[in-house]
Amino acid sequence: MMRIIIADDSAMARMFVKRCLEISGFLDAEFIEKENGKEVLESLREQPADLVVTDLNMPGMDGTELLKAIKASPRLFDTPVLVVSSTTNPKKTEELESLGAFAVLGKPISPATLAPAVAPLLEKEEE
Amino acid sequence: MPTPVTIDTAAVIEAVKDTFETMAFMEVTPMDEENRLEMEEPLWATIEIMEPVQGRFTLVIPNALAEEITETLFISDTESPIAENLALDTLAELVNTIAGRLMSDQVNLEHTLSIGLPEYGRGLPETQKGLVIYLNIEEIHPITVVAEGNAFQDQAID
Repeated sequence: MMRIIIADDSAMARMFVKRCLEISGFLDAEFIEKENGKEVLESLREQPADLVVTDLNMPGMDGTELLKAIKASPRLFDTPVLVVSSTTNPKKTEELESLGAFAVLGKPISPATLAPAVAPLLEKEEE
Repeated sequence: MPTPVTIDTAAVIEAVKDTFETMAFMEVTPMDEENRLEMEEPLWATIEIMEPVQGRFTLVIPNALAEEITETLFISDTESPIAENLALDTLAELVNTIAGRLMSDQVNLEHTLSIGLPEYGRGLPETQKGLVIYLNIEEIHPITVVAEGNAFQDQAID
Protein backbone atom coordinates (compact mmCIF):
# COMPACT_ATOMS: atom_id res chain seq x y z
CA MET A 1 0.00 0.00 0.00
CA MET A 2 1.36 3.41 -0.94
CA ARG A 3 1.77 5.97 1.81
CA ILE A 4 0.92 9.50 0.67
CA ILE A 5 1.30 12.62 2.80
CA ILE A 6 -0.85 15.64 1.89
CA ALA A 7 0.27 18.97 3.35
CA ASP A 8 -2.00 22.00 3.30
CA ASP A 9 -3.27 24.30 6.04
CA SER A 10 -6.79 23.99 4.61
CA ALA A 11 -8.79 20.85 5.44
CA MET A 12 -10.87 21.46 2.33
CA ALA A 13 -7.77 21.60 0.13
CA ARG A 14 -6.39 18.38 1.66
CA MET A 15 -9.68 16.59 1.05
CA PHE A 16 -9.82 17.89 -2.51
CA VAL A 17 -6.30 16.60 -3.26
CA LYS A 18 -7.18 13.27 -1.67
CA ARG A 19 -10.32 12.91 -3.83
CA CYS A 20 -8.35 13.79 -6.98
CA LEU A 21 -5.65 11.22 -6.10
CA GLU A 22 -8.28 8.54 -5.50
CA ILE A 23 -9.90 9.25 -8.86
CA SER A 24 -6.44 9.22 -10.47
CA GLY A 25 -5.88 5.65 -9.33
CA PHE A 26 -4.63 5.79 -5.75
CA LEU A 27 -7.72 4.08 -4.32
CA ASP A 28 -5.85 1.83 -1.91
CA ALA A 29 -3.33 4.36 -0.70
CA GLU A 30 -2.91 5.37 2.91
CA PHE A 31 -3.39 9.12 3.15
CA ILE A 32 -1.83 11.12 5.96
CA GLU A 33 -2.90 14.75 6.30
CA LYS A 34 -0.60 17.45 7.72
CA GLU A 35 -1.03 21.19 8.12
CA ASN A 36 2.51 22.40 7.42
CA GLY A 37 6.00 21.34 6.43
CA LYS A 38 7.21 20.80 9.97
CA GLU A 39 4.48 18.20 10.60
CA VAL A 40 5.40 16.45 7.36
CA LEU A 41 9.05 16.17 8.34
CA GLU A 42 8.07 14.77 11.75
CA SER A 43 5.92 12.15 10.01
CA LEU A 44 8.68 11.29 7.53
CA ARG A 45 11.16 10.80 10.36
CA GLU A 46 8.86 8.13 11.82
CA GLN A 47 8.02 6.46 8.52
CA PRO A 48 8.96 7.23 4.92
CA ALA A 49 6.33 8.05 2.31
CA ASP A 50 5.93 7.14 -1.35
CA LEU A 51 4.72 10.61 -2.23
CA VAL A 52 4.43 14.02 -0.57
CA VAL A 53 1.86 16.43 -2.02
CA THR A 54 2.36 19.90 -0.61
CA ASP A 55 0.95 23.39 -0.85
CA LEU A 56 3.44 26.27 -0.85
CA ASN A 57 1.68 28.90 1.22
CA MET A 58 1.41 27.46 4.75
CA PRO A 59 2.05 28.98 8.17
CA GLY A 60 5.05 27.63 10.06
CA MET A 61 7.18 25.78 7.52
CA ASP A 62 6.04 26.47 3.95
CA GLY A 63 6.21 24.13 0.97
CA THR A 64 9.46 25.50 -0.45
CA GLU A 65 11.26 25.02 2.88
CA LEU A 66 9.80 21.52 3.12
CA LEU A 67 11.02 20.66 -0.37
CA LYS A 68 14.53 21.93 0.46
CA ALA A 69 14.57 19.96 3.73
CA ILE A 70 13.53 16.72 2.03
CA LYS A 71 16.06 17.08 -0.77
CA ALA A 72 18.82 17.97 1.72
CA SER A 73 18.24 14.76 3.70
CA PRO A 74 20.14 11.68 2.46
CA ARG A 75 17.39 9.48 3.91
CA LEU A 76 14.46 11.41 2.41
CA PHE A 77 16.08 12.62 -0.80
CA ASP A 78 14.31 10.05 -3.00
CA THR A 79 10.80 10.97 -1.77
CA PRO A 80 8.84 12.42 -4.71
CA VAL A 81 7.43 15.86 -3.84
CA LEU A 82 4.47 17.13 -5.84
CA VAL A 83 3.74 20.83 -5.34
CA VAL A 84 0.12 22.01 -5.66
CA SER A 85 -0.17 25.74 -5.20
CA SER A 86 -2.32 28.70 -6.13
CA THR A 87 0.78 30.82 -6.79
CA THR A 88 2.56 29.12 -9.65
CA ASN A 89 3.84 30.48 -12.93
CA PRO A 90 6.59 29.24 -15.24
CA LYS A 91 9.27 31.10 -13.27
CA LYS A 92 8.17 29.58 -9.95
CA THR A 93 7.74 26.13 -11.50
CA GLU A 94 11.28 26.23 -12.85
CA GLU A 95 12.60 27.28 -9.43
CA LEU A 96 10.76 24.44 -7.67
CA GLU A 97 11.82 21.84 -10.20
CA SER A 98 15.42 22.94 -9.83
CA LEU A 99 15.03 22.34 -6.09
CA GLY A 100 13.89 18.79 -6.84
CA ALA A 101 10.10 18.94 -7.12
CA PHE A 102 8.69 15.91 -8.90
CA ALA A 103 5.97 18.06 -10.50
CA VAL A 104 4.30 21.43 -9.96
CA LEU A 105 0.56 21.98 -10.48
CA GLY A 106 -1.47 25.16 -10.13
CA LYS A 107 -4.71 25.29 -8.16
CA PRO A 108 -7.44 24.50 -8.86
CA ILE A 109 -6.27 21.00 -9.70
CA SER A 110 -8.58 18.34 -11.10
CA PRO A 111 -8.22 14.61 -11.73
CA ALA A 112 -7.56 15.53 -15.37
CA THR A 113 -4.51 17.63 -14.47
CA LEU A 114 -3.31 15.43 -11.61
CA ALA A 115 -3.53 12.00 -13.29
CA PRO A 116 -0.82 12.58 -15.92
CA ALA A 117 1.51 14.02 -13.27
CA VAL A 118 1.23 11.03 -10.95
CA ALA A 119 0.98 8.33 -13.64
CA PRO A 120 4.71 7.46 -13.42
CA LEU A 121 4.32 6.72 -9.69
CA LEU A 122 1.37 4.41 -10.32
CA GLU A 123 3.26 2.57 -13.07
CA LYS A 124 6.24 2.14 -10.73
CA GLU A 125 3.93 0.78 -8.02
CA GLU A 126 2.35 -1.73 -10.39
CA GLU A 127 5.72 -3.13 -11.52
CA MET B 1 11.95 46.21 -15.48
CA PRO B 2 8.70 44.21 -15.13
CA THR B 3 5.73 45.51 -17.11
CA PRO B 4 2.83 46.98 -15.07
CA VAL B 5 -0.01 44.59 -14.29
CA THR B 6 -3.64 45.47 -14.93
CA ILE B 7 -6.49 43.09 -14.24
CA ASP B 8 -9.98 43.67 -15.60
CA THR B 9 -13.45 42.47 -14.66
CA ALA B 10 -13.50 39.67 -17.23
CA ALA B 11 -10.27 38.19 -15.83
CA VAL B 12 -11.66 38.21 -12.29
CA ILE B 13 -14.87 36.51 -13.42
CA GLU B 14 -12.92 33.90 -15.38
CA ALA B 15 -10.84 33.02 -12.30
CA VAL B 16 -13.98 32.71 -10.17
CA LYS B 17 -15.74 30.59 -12.80
CA ASP B 18 -12.82 28.25 -13.28
CA THR B 19 -12.37 27.73 -9.56
CA PHE B 20 -16.06 27.07 -8.78
CA GLU B 21 -16.49 24.81 -11.79
CA THR B 22 -13.37 22.79 -11.04
CA MET B 23 -13.63 22.52 -7.26
CA ALA B 24 -17.39 22.54 -6.73
CA PHE B 25 -18.78 21.59 -10.15
CA MET B 26 -20.99 24.69 -10.01
CA GLU B 27 -21.92 27.13 -12.77
CA VAL B 28 -21.14 30.83 -12.33
CA THR B 29 -23.07 33.58 -14.11
CA PRO B 30 -22.62 37.38 -13.94
CA MET B 31 -25.43 39.41 -12.36
CA ASP B 32 -26.24 43.11 -12.60
CA GLU B 33 -26.10 44.99 -9.31
CA GLU B 34 -29.76 46.04 -9.60
CA ASN B 35 -30.90 42.46 -10.20
CA ARG B 36 -28.78 40.77 -7.60
CA LEU B 37 -30.37 38.40 -5.13
CA GLU B 38 -30.41 39.06 -1.43
CA MET B 39 -27.71 37.17 0.43
CA GLU B 40 -28.68 35.34 3.60
CA GLU B 41 -26.15 34.60 6.35
CA PRO B 42 -23.11 35.92 4.48
CA LEU B 43 -19.62 34.58 5.12
CA TRP B 44 -16.49 36.37 3.93
CA ALA B 45 -12.90 35.44 3.24
CA THR B 46 -10.18 37.84 2.22
CA ILE B 47 -6.56 37.53 1.13
CA GLU B 48 -3.83 40.12 0.69
CA ILE B 49 -2.05 40.25 -2.64
CA MET B 50 1.54 41.33 -2.10
CA GLU B 51 3.38 40.75 -5.39
CA PRO B 52 3.44 41.65 -8.26
CA VAL B 53 0.61 44.07 -7.36
CA GLN B 54 -0.59 45.23 -3.99
CA GLY B 55 -4.21 44.76 -3.16
CA ARG B 56 -6.81 42.63 -1.51
CA PHE B 57 -9.24 40.08 -2.84
CA THR B 58 -12.45 39.32 -0.94
CA LEU B 59 -15.18 36.79 -1.55
CA VAL B 60 -18.60 36.98 0.15
CA ILE B 61 -20.91 33.98 -0.16
CA PRO B 62 -24.02 32.74 1.66
CA ASN B 63 -23.51 30.19 4.40
CA ALA B 64 -25.79 27.74 2.58
CA LEU B 65 -23.47 27.71 -0.44
CA ALA B 66 -20.36 27.18 1.69
CA GLU B 67 -22.08 24.26 3.39
CA GLU B 68 -23.25 22.80 0.08
CA ILE B 69 -19.73 22.85 -1.37
CA THR B 70 -18.28 21.40 1.81
CA GLU B 71 -20.86 18.62 1.92
CA THR B 72 -20.15 17.71 -1.70
CA LEU B 73 -16.49 17.24 -0.91
CA PHE B 74 -16.72 15.67 2.52
CA ILE B 75 -19.20 12.97 1.62
CA SER B 76 -20.19 11.44 4.92
CA ASP B 77 -22.27 8.52 6.03
CA THR B 78 -23.52 10.49 8.99
CA GLU B 79 -26.17 13.19 8.89
CA SER B 80 -24.30 15.44 11.28
CA PRO B 81 -24.20 19.09 10.22
CA ILE B 82 -21.06 20.46 8.65
CA ALA B 83 -18.78 21.87 11.31
CA GLU B 84 -18.87 25.64 11.36
CA ASN B 85 -15.14 26.05 10.82
CA LEU B 86 -15.16 23.65 7.88
CA ALA B 87 -17.51 25.84 5.85
CA LEU B 88 -15.28 28.85 6.57
CA ASP B 89 -12.21 26.81 5.70
CA THR B 90 -13.84 25.96 2.37
CA LEU B 91 -14.46 29.63 1.66
CA ALA B 92 -10.87 30.50 2.61
CA GLU B 93 -9.52 27.88 0.20
CA LEU B 94 -11.77 29.22 -2.56
CA VAL B 95 -10.50 32.79 -2.12
CA ASN B 96 -6.91 31.55 -1.95
CA THR B 97 -7.31 29.56 -5.16
CA ILE B 98 -9.13 32.33 -7.04
CA ALA B 99 -6.58 35.00 -6.06
CA GLY B 100 -3.65 32.76 -6.95
CA ARG B 101 -5.20 31.68 -10.21
CA LEU B 102 -5.89 35.30 -11.12
CA MET B 103 -2.32 36.36 -10.44
CA SER B 104 -0.84 33.34 -12.22
CA ASP B 105 -2.90 34.05 -15.32
CA GLN B 106 -2.27 37.76 -15.48
CA VAL B 107 1.39 38.23 -14.70
CA ASN B 108 4.36 37.71 -16.96
CA LEU B 109 7.25 35.34 -16.49
CA GLU B 110 9.45 37.95 -14.85
CA HIS B 111 7.04 38.66 -12.01
CA THR B 112 7.24 37.10 -8.58
CA LEU B 113 3.92 35.96 -7.11
CA SER B 114 3.15 36.41 -3.47
CA ILE B 115 -0.14 36.34 -1.59
CA GLY B 116 -0.90 36.21 2.11
CA LEU B 117 -2.81 33.71 4.16
CA PRO B 118 -6.63 33.93 4.02
CA GLU B 119 -8.66 35.49 6.83
CA TYR B 120 -12.34 34.84 7.21
CA GLY B 121 -15.44 35.54 9.24
CA ARG B 122 -19.21 35.70 9.43
CA GLY B 123 -21.38 38.64 8.34
CA LEU B 124 -20.23 41.21 5.83
CA PRO B 125 -16.58 42.29 5.55
CA GLU B 126 -15.65 45.76 6.79
CA THR B 127 -14.51 46.98 3.39
CA GLN B 128 -16.37 46.68 0.13
CA LYS B 129 -14.44 49.32 -1.81
CA GLY B 130 -12.79 48.71 -5.14
CA LEU B 131 -13.93 46.63 -8.07
CA VAL B 132 -17.17 44.96 -6.93
CA ILE B 133 -18.57 42.12 -9.01
CA TYR B 134 -21.89 40.36 -8.43
CA LEU B 135 -22.26 36.78 -9.57
CA ASN B 136 -24.72 33.92 -9.20
CA ILE B 137 -23.81 30.33 -8.48
CA GLU B 138 -26.14 27.76 -10.00
CA GLU B 139 -28.59 30.66 -10.50
CA ILE B 140 -29.70 30.55 -6.87
CA HIS B 141 -26.74 31.61 -4.71
CA PRO B 142 -25.59 35.24 -4.97
CA ILE B 143 -21.91 35.91 -4.32
CA THR B 144 -19.91 39.13 -4.24
CA VAL B 145 -16.28 39.54 -5.27
CA VAL B 146 -14.36 42.64 -4.17
CA ALA B 147 -10.96 43.36 -5.69
CA GLU B 148 -9.08 46.26 -4.10
CA GLY B 149 -5.93 47.81 -5.52
CA ASN B 150 -4.72 49.94 -8.41
CA ALA B 151 -4.24 46.95 -10.72
CA PHE B 152 -7.94 46.11 -10.79
CA GLN B 153 -9.90 47.96 -13.45
CA ASP B 154 -13.59 48.02 -14.14
CA GLN B 155 -14.03 47.31 -17.83
CA ALA B 156 -17.07 46.40 -19.87
CA ILE B 157 -17.58 42.71 -20.56
CA ASP B 158 -18.58 41.57 -24.03
